[in-house]
Amino acid sequence: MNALMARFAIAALSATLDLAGLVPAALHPGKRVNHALRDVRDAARGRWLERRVIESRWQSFVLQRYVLGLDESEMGVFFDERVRYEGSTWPLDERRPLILAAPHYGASGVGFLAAVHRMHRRRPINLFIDAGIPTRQLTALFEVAGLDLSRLMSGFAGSVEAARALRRGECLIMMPDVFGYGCQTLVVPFFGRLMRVAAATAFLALRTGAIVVPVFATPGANLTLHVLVDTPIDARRFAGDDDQQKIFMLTQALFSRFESVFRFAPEHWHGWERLPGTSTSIDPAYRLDYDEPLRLLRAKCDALPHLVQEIPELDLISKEHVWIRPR
Amino acid sequence: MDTTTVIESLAVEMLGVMPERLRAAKTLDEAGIDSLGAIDLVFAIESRLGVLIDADALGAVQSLQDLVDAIER
Repeated sequence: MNALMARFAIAALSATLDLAGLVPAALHPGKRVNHALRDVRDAARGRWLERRVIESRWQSFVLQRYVLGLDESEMGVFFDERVRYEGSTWPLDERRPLILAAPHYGASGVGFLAAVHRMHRRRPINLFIDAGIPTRQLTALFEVAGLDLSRLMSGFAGSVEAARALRRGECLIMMPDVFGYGCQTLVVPFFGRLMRVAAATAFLALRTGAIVVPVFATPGANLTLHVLVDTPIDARRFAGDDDQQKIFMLTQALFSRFESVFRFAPEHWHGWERLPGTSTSIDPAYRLDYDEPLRLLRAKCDALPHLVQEIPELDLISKEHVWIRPR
Repeated sequence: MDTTTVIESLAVEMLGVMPERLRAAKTLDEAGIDSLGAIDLVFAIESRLGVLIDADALGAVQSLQDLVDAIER
């Protein structure tokens, strides 16, 4: 019955999505995202994104409600039959300390649970998320699944406990793109901007030799979930004496994974609305000449002759216009 | 060597923070020890003194004296 109701809700949403253009921006997350991205040069925008954002959020919400309504045994069936795993799952079986690092993306709560389910409950799980971030739904999900989840508050004491848990070979669940006031941060390149992100993931991984595994969970049709367990980032790879540099490199490696997944399916990230406020443009201060794109096209044509063979117009366009107005 | 002296010597060794500055500062942050540096300091203290500091006691740590109290609790 639960599944039937959830499917009905999704069907009702699909039918009303075409009317979503009438919904004011305050009530429409897709419109808010589109508005927030107006000055972010490298990010996708448009009506299609508005529609997909609202679809993703609604699907994630319904999926989470559905999973919360299951009992422990039904949840096992759900993970075996309705969750499609992709990527390298070997890190989940490793004995080394593990950090599951998921962005606030799609149905991340159910995604964490699915990744833990895949680990066959072999190690204790700790949730390490900023004290100001609500985690009621996530802890409820773990309760329903019959899993013990230790919640460690961020801050000095929580960070020490998190490091101790990792040293005992336990698993830490973190959301590096979600942090509150007072959290130690650094900036990394992200969608052509410099974005402020939490430093704790990289710090804890470097101090404990943990493997950082990025996890992305996207809701699909008919109450399904796609869990991508991305290639792990091994903290031991980051050698050298400069600690700050290592923290930066590991964080940058993690967010570069996030960016590549977000580029493919941007509608699932819940952080777009925050992006302008937590990032700075790294575009040049001066405006580009009007013919700069044509110069770049000319350079591409010179570098890739086969491109010109396939689309001869490119060559003509760039030759015709690029030198009209010398710099 | 008392606890305060151990902390001061570790702060110099690991973080380059001089004892006078650490003593004068009202908070560790004011002394130039950020939150990640403070975590490193805690683990170094535990290793040097062979103690396990109660994490709950660390929640209230702001200054050098708070840290000494948390260790000696």
